[in-house]
Parts: sequence; structure tokens; C-alpha cells
Amino acid sequence: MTLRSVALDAPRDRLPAIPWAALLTCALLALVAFMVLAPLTLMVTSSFQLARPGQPAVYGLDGWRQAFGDPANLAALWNTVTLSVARQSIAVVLGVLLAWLIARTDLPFKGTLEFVFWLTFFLPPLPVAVGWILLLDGRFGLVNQWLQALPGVSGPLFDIYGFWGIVWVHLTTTIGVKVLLLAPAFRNLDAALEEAARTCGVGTLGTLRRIVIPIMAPAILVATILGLIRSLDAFEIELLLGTPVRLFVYSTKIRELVTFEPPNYAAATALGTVLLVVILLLVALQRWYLAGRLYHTVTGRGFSTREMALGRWRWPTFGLVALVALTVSVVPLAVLLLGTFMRAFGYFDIPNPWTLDHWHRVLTDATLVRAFQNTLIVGGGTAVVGTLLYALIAYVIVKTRFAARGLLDLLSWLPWAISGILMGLALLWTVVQVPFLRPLYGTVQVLVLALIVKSMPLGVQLTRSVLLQLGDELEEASRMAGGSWWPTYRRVVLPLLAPTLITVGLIGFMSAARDVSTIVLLGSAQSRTLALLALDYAYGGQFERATVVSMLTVALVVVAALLVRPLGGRLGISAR
Amino acid sequence: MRARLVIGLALAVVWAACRPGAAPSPAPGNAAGPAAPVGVAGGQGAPTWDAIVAAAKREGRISIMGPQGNETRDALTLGFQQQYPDIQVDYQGLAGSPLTAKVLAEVNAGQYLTDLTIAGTAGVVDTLIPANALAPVPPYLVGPNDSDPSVWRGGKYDYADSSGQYGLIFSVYVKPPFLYNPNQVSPDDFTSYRDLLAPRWKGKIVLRDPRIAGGGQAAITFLYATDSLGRDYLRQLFAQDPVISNDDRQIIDWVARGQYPIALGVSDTLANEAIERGLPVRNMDTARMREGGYVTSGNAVVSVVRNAPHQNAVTVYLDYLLSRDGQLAWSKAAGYASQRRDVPTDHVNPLFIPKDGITYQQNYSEQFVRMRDEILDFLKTVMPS
Repeated sequence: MTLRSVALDAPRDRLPAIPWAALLTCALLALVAFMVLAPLTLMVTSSFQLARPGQPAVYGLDGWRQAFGDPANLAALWNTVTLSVARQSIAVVLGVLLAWLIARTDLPFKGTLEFVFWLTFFLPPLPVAVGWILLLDGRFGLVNQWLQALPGVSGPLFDIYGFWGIVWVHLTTTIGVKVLLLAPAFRNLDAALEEAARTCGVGTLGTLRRIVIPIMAPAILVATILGLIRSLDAFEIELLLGTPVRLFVYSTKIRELVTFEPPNYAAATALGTVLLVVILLLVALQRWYLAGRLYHTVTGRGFSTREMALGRWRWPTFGLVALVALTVSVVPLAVLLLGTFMRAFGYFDIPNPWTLDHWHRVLTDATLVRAFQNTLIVGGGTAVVGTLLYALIAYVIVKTRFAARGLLDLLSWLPWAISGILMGLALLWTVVQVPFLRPLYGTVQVLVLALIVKSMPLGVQLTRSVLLQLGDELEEASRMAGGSWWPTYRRVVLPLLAPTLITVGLIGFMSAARDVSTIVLLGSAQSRTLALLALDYAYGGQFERATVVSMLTVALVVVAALLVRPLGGRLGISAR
Repeated sequence: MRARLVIGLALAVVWAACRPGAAPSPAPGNAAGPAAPVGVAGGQGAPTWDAIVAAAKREGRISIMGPQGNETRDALTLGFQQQYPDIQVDYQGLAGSPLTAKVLAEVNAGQYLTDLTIAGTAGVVDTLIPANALAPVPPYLVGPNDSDPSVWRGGKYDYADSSGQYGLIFSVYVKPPFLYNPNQVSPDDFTSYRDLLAPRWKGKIVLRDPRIAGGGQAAITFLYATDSLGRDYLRQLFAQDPVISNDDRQIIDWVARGQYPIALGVSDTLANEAIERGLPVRNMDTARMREGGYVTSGNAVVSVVRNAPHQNAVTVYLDYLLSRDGQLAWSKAAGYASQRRDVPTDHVNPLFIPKDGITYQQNYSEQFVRMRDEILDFLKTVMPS
């Protein structure tokens, strides 16, 4: 029996008559296929449906002609590609370097620094963008004003509007995400490999470039692909910083088509299929690159987690990393917090600019407690159920010989083939049209289900990239010692995966806590979360109160992270 | 210890997410169709108001989709909730195409979960009525506060649809011609919309996207349908290189910062909020413009969804909404005058109240809503894509 067949063959020892493992994997495939393909099929079908909403269906290709015949859409697509590539290129280089420094070296206060980077992922993107406008606007930006007071400086040094402004604001969150995604994988790197490189006379950066990066390829590739896809789908910051200079992106065009009155769903969904094509190309590229190679770093030959000493560069490196961490997290956080105490965010020259009223009004809002509870339930449900499901899917993809594991892998990417703006609509159509899902409509359970689908690519692929690092001989040793599949999984695989699963769970919690587009159409008054409450405030012109709610959400996520994060360290690989 | 605590918390969360009680109880009659109404035509003869209220209390809830914003939400729910504590108001804030998409998805799937919508005219006239998603409103107007239309302007209820059945308008207001920054724009420079065409305003105007339902569409409809302005005027206006945005908050910020000192079609709710906070933004007075102006219903159009699941609660809620108290609460939250004549207007900015001697286009009526396809086609020829 080969090592890779452990999961499928083990139960056969006890129940030879019923192929439980095969049945379970088939059921898993069917479940994932339904969860993913139902909304995707509805979206693609909708691209051919030309009638106005509510009218008898008329099918044709006009939606596709409008989507791809409009030069403005093609220009927007090109802007999206250039913005995404620019931002991901910078973020990947910085992210790999920072994750390596945090996970593999003796950098001082690295745990704190990692947590500070995590913070950037928790921050609400729109208020953060507004905060950066307040600092870097060419006319009134505070940083520009301070710099212009210096001798020799005339005129603003920065202008937040435009291509590089968008890249900058995205980078402040993207770098943190890269650290979040890559650090667990870097921790699973056997230090013996680095030590061997040093023994051969290779320097620190040379080791990083020639040993660490190639062997971390699966994780880096996944982080890059995930980042690229999310970049293609981003629109809030682009809308804010691109509109004044008429820089439009793909997602803002989809949003326009959906919000037109009447909405043009055919053209919007046709344009939305670009993401599907991109994902198929990127997944093919990933498979081609990883095919036939092994990336095992955790094997049965012993494992060293010894940190690499930075020597005399230790404190200067700390200074640089701390500067980056403070710039991307503490600065926007401080601006956001400041904004919640202002009558009007960013207006210092109005009468009585400071107030506690926003906090008072939010904290006494009768719907706050319910929204808080719903957020906990939706976030927690998504984190726990989602993480278990993603771990199972990833395990089947990497560690079994299940015939359709390639299909399962592809399916796990596809939720991101639906643009975030269209995802809410696609899920709404799915839930109300599928009889057994209808009773869930409007409940918190359906929100959990929707958010599990939405976070699937990240959860599965992140777990998969770490599973690829685990050598099969660990499980084989367990089997040789008489352990069947479940004890092996529980006592060998799970502890090795723990830090990654904790990260996946936290990302699921956080994504659920701040999601609007996926759940806005599925929810009801009873299932309103903090993010939807913030949206309510924002639409009522109470941007500052919306930011207060966002800050409460950040606090909730930070508490969750502080509670759960040490668990990953305890269960994971230690230096013992 | 910590591991056990975290695992225990995780299990508790999963249990909370999965237990049946975590879900809002589905509307009665959800699967089998709505409960039989007591008070609506087609019910049991002519029931007393008390019988309708009792039946509404038995239904126990009403589901409303209406404008976003916590103050609007409070105005549309708290007063009713105090008066009828036994009828729970499930209020979901949605507007524009998301609202129509959700209602249509429910109705088309036979999921009758929503009772009422409170929205703008475009979605009602353009989408919900043609899709047969609405029920006539008049049969529900049988309460002590809404059965007598004589207290309403013109002695009758006004409807968005020309059939006078589906979209009851309870408030209209004068939409100011534009928002401006008083540090850069003098109102004395304006006596006509044509003054916006002066070279000094080139590149200084921001327009809320007129392809999306809302203020921008209403503004362009007025300019397009006004004889002395029309297509030629719009061509010249777009030659002024206006920036198009659909983010009201951003538009107001630009005006306040002076980046674009003039804004057309911006949300009045947000503009009023900004003025109240002391930001340097002001509304131009329609009375200055020789072409006149227009009145709009904003989001003050109430409709009953077909097969609404809580027929009696709908009847009771409409009676509250159209009562003096209900209209006063709405008027104070929205800042606009009610169409009901006995509702005070001392809290309403006089700029929003129609004045004698000025011609106002009734921008919300079906005639103008129907014109929008033609306008959208025209916009494709003049708007930067």
C-alpha cells in the first residue's frame, strides 16, 4: 500500500463491505460542487438573459456585446491588470521578506510585529482610504501641509488620487495579508536546510533567495494568486481614488452595470466571467509549476526550528520592519480613531470639531447588541465550520488518491470566479430557487453558508499549501505503529496544521465580520451584523458612526485573535 | 486551559449558528401563501378596525424594506412599535436596484416574506409594477387615520404610477438645483441653469451618476425635459467636463474641500447632515432659477408587495405611517414636508417646500420615469464613458 492511500484505505480494515472513505469523498465533492456551481451557473446563465428584471426571459448575446464591445470596459480591464500586477509585485517581495524575518530569524519582538501586521487586515478599507486622503491629499492632506512647512519644499509632495495612490492604500493592507498567509508556512521550514546553505558559504539573503523561496514556492504561489484575484475584484478604494482622475477599473464597471436603473445584469455578469477565465489560467499555471515536484519540509528525518541569527543587522532590521508595521497599521488606525471623535471626519476648522456623540449614539443604539451577537455567531460559525470543511477538502486533494481530487481542487477556487459585487445576487438567486435552501433564507445560517462558500479558495488553498510541506513518512510511521486513519490525522497531521488552521479560522471570522456584499441581500432585520449596521449609518450620512461600528468590529476581531492565536503556537511545531 | 476555553467557545458558536432558534421565525403562511386578510377587500365582509388590529397582533410581525440610515429606520419603526408592541417590525435598509432585486427574487420564487417597500419611484414604476410584484394599495387604506384622503394635498392620495394603485407618495420636496461651496461660489452669480455653462466652472462640477436611480437621474431628467434647456443644454453641460461619481459622501466632501465647488444631484439627506455639522456647503435656492425647478418624492413611496404575508399588519402599519404622528416622525427624520396638510413644517428647511408662483416639474410621476430610457440613450452620446 502506498503512503498516499492512507486516508482512503484505512477504514477498509474495519468495514470492508462499505467503501466509507470513497463514499465520504464523493459526498464531499458533491457538496462542494453544489455550493460552488449553483451560483456560478446562475451567474453565467444570467449573462444571456436580456429581459428586464421581472419580465419574461429573453435570451441572446447582447450582454456580452455590451460588456466587451465597449472600449471603456476594455480600458478599465487594462487598468485593473496594471494596478493588480504593480501592487502584487511589491507586496509579494515585501511580504516574503517580512514573513521570513518574522518566522525564521531572531528579529526582536517578532510576535508583536506579526500581530501588528495582522491588524492591517482587520481594518475597514473604506475608512482607511478616507484616512489616507486626509493625510496625503494634494490640497489639504496633513502630511503635505507639514512637509510644505519645511524649507525648500513648495507644493504638495504627494497626491493620493490616481494609480500610485491606489497602489499605496492597497499595499497598506496587502502586505499584512501576505505576512498573515506566509508566516505559518515559513514556520514549517526545516532549519537544517538553511543551515546546510550557510555551511556551504551562502549568505543570509542568498539562503533566502536560493533555498527558502524555491522550497516555499507552493505557499508563495498561492498567496500571489489569491492576491491577484482579490486585486482584480477590488473596487471600493479604486472608486474613491480613481474617479477624480477618471481611472476606472473592471469592478467599478460591474458595479455601475448592477446599480443602473434598470440594472443591466446581462452585461454585468458577462463582464464578471473575466474572473472565471483568469482563475482557470492561474490554476493551470499553478498546477504546471508544482507538477512533479516535492515540497516536503516536515519529514520523518527530524525537524529543526532553530532561528537564523541576524547578527549586527538584528536591531537595524527591527527598526525597518517596525517602521513598515507602524506605517501600515498604527497610522491608519490612529486616524480612524481620531475621526470617530470628530463632528465631521477630517474637518478641523468647523465650530466645535470634537465630540463624543458618535460613540454615545452607537453604544445606545437598540440594534447594536443584536448586531454584535449576530456577528459573533456568523463569524464564529464561518470560522469553525469553514475551517473544518476546508481542512477536509485540502486533505483529500493533497493526501489521497481520490480520482476527482483535481476537480475538487479546481472547484475550491471557483467561488472567487464570481465578482464580489455579483456574489450577493448569485447567492440570493440560489437560495430562493433551491427548495431545500429556502427555509434558511433570511437566517444567520444562510449567512454562514454563504460566507463559507466565499472564503473557500483562501481556506482550502492556504491549508493545501501547508499540507504539501508534510512528508508522507510521518503518517506512515503512525500507521506502522498501529494507528488507523483518525488517530493519525488527529495526532500527527492536525498538530502540524494547527497554526495554519488557526489563521484560516481567524481570516474566516474576520471576513465574515466585515462582509457586506455577500450577505446584504440574504439577510433580514433579524440577522443584521455589525457590518450591515455600519452600512446603515453610512447611508444615513453618519460616516463617523459607521467608523465607530467598524472600530467595534476591529476590537471584536482583535479579542478573538488574542484568544485563539496562542493556541496555534501551542499545538504547532515547537522548538522542543 | 486556554485550549479548552477556546474549543468550548467554538462549540458554543457552532451550536448557536445551527440551533433552530437562531433563525428569525419565518413568516406565517410563507410556504402555503399569505394568511387570509381580515381587513382587505376579499376578506370577510367589513370587519371592524378592532378586529383588524387583533388579527394583526395575531400575525405578530411586519416585514418592511426601506431606506437605509439609522434615523430613517427609527422614524419608520419606533413610533409604530410603541403604539403596537405586539407587532414586531422587521425593517431592512435597502434602496435602489438591491431592493428591487431582492423583492423580485422572493416573489418569483413564491417566497412571500416582504410586506411593504418604501422606496423611490423608479424601481416601483420601472421594475416592480411591470413584474406584477405589487398589490394595489387603496384596499388597505381602511384605518381611522388613512381612510380619509381629504387631509392630504389636493384632497387625495398621490401615486407614482398613473393608475393610482401601487406607489403611494407621502412626501415630496423641492430638489435644490445644486449644492455649492459658499467660499468659492456666490449664489448671486446664478439666475439660470445656463450660468453653470460659464467657462469658470469648466472642470469644477461634479454630477451624481445619472444612469443610477437617485438625485443625478432626477436632475438630468429635469434638465432634459425642460423646454428652455433640453438636449442642447445637456450637451453644453457635459462639455464642461463634469466629474461623474455615485458616492454621495465623496461628492459632498469634494464640495466642502473646494475641489469641485458645485455638485448636481447629490443626496439631500447627506447634504443636510453636512450643513448641520457646519461644513462649508449650501443648497442653491430654486427660486433664483428662471427655469423653475422640480419636486421629487425621494424615497417616500410606499407599496404593498403582492401576497404580503401579514395582510392585517400591513393595514395597521399603513394607518400608522399615514397618520399625523407617523408622518411627523418621517418628516423630522427626513427633513422634508409631508403631503399630509396637518403635519407641521417648522422643522423643514424652507428651500425644500414648494413656493407659490414657481413652476415645479413633477419629476417623480410616471410620465417622467418612463422618459428615462430615452434619456439614458441620449446620455450615451454625451457622457464620457
